[in-house]
Amino acid sequence: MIKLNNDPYPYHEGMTIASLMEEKKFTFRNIVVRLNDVPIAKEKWDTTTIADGDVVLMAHLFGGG
Amino acid sequence: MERIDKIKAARKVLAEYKYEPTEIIRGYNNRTLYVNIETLEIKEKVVTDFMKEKFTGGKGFDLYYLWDAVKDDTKWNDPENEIVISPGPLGGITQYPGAGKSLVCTISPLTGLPIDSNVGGYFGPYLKFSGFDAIEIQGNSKEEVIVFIDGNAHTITIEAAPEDAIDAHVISEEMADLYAEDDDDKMNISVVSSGRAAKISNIGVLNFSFWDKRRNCARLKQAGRGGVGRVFRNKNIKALVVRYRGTHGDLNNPYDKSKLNTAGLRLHREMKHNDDFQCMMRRSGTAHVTDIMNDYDLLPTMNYQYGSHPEVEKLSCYLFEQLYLMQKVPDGCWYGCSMSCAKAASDFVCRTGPYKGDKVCVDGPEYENAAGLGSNCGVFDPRWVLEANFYCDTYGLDTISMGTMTAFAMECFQRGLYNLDDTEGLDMRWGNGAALNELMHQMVNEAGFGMLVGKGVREMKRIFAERFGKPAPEYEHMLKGRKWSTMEPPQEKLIPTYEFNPDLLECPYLKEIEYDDAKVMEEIAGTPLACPGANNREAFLGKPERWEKIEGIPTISRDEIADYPVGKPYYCDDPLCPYTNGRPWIKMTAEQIALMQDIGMENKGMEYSEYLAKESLAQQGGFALCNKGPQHDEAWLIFMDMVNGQIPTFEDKANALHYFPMIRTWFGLHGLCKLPWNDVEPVDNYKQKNANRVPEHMKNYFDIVEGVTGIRLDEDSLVAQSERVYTFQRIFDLRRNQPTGAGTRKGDQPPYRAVGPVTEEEYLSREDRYDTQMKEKIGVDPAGKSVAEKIAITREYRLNQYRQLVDAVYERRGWTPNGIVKLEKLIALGMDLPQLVRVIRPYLKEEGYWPTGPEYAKYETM
Repeated sequence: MIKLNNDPYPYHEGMTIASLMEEKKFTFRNIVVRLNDVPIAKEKWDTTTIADGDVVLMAHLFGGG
Repeated sequence: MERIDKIKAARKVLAEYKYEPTEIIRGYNNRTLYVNIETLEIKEKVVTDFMKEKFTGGKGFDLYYLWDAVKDDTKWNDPENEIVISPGPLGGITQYPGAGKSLVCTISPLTGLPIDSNVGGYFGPYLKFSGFDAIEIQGNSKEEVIVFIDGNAHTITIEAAPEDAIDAHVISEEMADLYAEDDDDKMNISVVSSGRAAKISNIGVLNFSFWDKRRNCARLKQAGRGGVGRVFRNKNIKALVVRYRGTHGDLNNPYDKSKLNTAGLRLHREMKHNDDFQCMMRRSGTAHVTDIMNDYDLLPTMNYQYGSHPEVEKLSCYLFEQLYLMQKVPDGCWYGCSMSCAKAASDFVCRTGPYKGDKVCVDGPEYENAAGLGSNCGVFDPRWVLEANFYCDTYGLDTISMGTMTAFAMECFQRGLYNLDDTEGLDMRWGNGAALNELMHQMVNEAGFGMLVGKGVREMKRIFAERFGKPAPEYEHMLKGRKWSTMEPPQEKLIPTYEFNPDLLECPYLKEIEYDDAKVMEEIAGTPLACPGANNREAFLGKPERWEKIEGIPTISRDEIADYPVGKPYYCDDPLCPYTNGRPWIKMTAEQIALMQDIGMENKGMEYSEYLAKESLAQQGGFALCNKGPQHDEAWLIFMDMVNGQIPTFEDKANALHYFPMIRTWFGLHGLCKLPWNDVEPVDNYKQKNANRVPEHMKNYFDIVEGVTGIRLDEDSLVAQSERVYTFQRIFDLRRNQPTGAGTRKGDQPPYRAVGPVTEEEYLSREDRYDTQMKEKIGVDPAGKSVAEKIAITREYRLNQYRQLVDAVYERRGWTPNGIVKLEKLIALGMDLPQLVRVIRPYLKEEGYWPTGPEYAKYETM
């Protein structure tokens, strides 16, 4: 299991930031990612792998109207 | 020009005032303008240091003046009620995006409370450049008037205006024709107007214009919430007009222009490089949110029952952009705003109403319009949405309230709470876009069911409950055999929208995503997501026979209604809502009334804006704890809470419900738009711990405030500026002593649909989520339980959660458990003003929170 946005989430082999985002259907364009509290730049989402037990924050910086 | 000549010939100057020009010093003229259109008094007032220190400007000045103008029991339509408009000390700067906002306050016809509404357009800056930090309009004129401020000639006139138009898109252009010296000069005119429907509907808006040179027409931005336009039209004002020639970037006479320029350049660069990859504000405006909200199951759909809908692609920002936004250019509503999110569908051809066949310019669609007038009413034809958007604006109606009101009325109709007899044949089924527009035409014509809907959700609940019940068996004989019309809506197969709107067949976006409307219709047929009203090309299904008066049914007074039996027919007049189809009134059952209370999306009397709150506790608080009523500008924590999981505890939520409303309040004190704060961000913002607060942009704000006023703020002093005014407004609510209980805990209670699922359909639409929550969070196994049982268990849990949230928020804000601001809090904020102390004192004493000790003795006699 990993912790995603403060909730438990099933881990699977080969999980990356980008694949997790797709899995969760996170389509919003302005998301900030922290992996174990380390900020991850957008250009590294494809290549950054997630390990079992990791803590992932995918914060949608949604402004509101 | 014949029309303009006619207007001119009929004009009569009722009062004229000349004033001395001043120079703005560090963002302030240090004077404001008072205009009484009843006594024809026009005068200047001095802005004191006390006002600037405690109230800053903008909304702060508005509330300060409004408090003094009204008595405790002043009604919205009393002459002493004021409309106050102020741009704030940063208003009118051109170096930093989003600095053209005006703040408008009045006592609202919907809530009885002070409402504040922010709006773009050029009026606020031009008012300031003409010499005034605010304008107060007081009195009710006996004849139709306009107020004209000539900022170059330094004159103000009140003029009788019998021939001027009322609808906003017409009068805004007529005033430009009338007052501009030539076409170029039209850019120097800004008009505040409302529209014809605002005369009878509680949801009237004010339209603030700016001249769009590229489209050669007046564009309109709206002070939308709370019915300001109804107050305006009740005062018999057709327009406020300001003319100012000579706008340039230094008119605020800033303390340090370099700070403004540097911060502005930083943001312009971000906008240029980042916006296309972030929120696409320049390309789509706020409408980009519609698709997002649907993806996250948060889009209000069919009166907030659901959060998404398979037909939403027909309301996508990409579709609007391809089919209707003809000039694909960034559009700013004030100079220097590189965010430029004010979109417009020019050359749009209306299909109904007085402008049928006309090519008009529709300002929008904003997200709230697409969601409120679209998905929330089950209307998925973009043309009907744009048409409703246009008529809302030009008739002077709030698109948000109009959407939420219609959605409520449609759901009540679909659930059989009233019928086609009651609407005189108007087809109020989900999806009928023609009926949505017809409601507004009826308001203008002051005839038909639309008059009733125009009262707002809170009044609709009362009126439906008094009138639209069915006869109990023991009283059925009183109807003497008269039955309701047997006219039944046809149960046709759902028809694809492209048969009504062939534009959809040409839409590249729909082709690209291979959207198949006919297939979607097949999928949703027979489900709660079907919108059968979309089958009806007309607003009406027919004209039911009108009810004749039935002998033997008693006529009672309004005072007798409370004790009159449920289900027994009676006649009664309602001076506040004269609409009738002739049928006798019958009181609804307690169950029917309870259902309406649950699904009627209003709080404090104002309609909810377009966010689905029920899965986010923090958003529930953000709406119902809002001083003016449920507008999302106090807190839009739905993603932080529900999606990001960043504020898991009550304390976290309470902190967020303290910080974010204060930031939003702050923009309103300064004449700033909120969007450039967090709808575009620096590329390295992701590295920040508090990324949601966009720390670099907060620094920009410290810089531009210093650049204009010379005062250096930090985050604490910024929040303190807001908290002073926010607290003042909370106590203003309490002073109003409204039946909704606003200003106390009672007023902060949401309708249950904003908290959780009301109906079985709603529960079943998210059954997995709710069942899982029941097991994991409530500790109850849902297995074997009926849906009704599960709804009841969920309800008890969620209402308890909401209670705990309110406790935490009140504590964080320094209020008592009943939501009364504590004296100690007022003192800490430096807001221990006698008029505020006098309001809270009896409540604090009664609740046992009045502090004792010699240091508090002076507050006993204030």
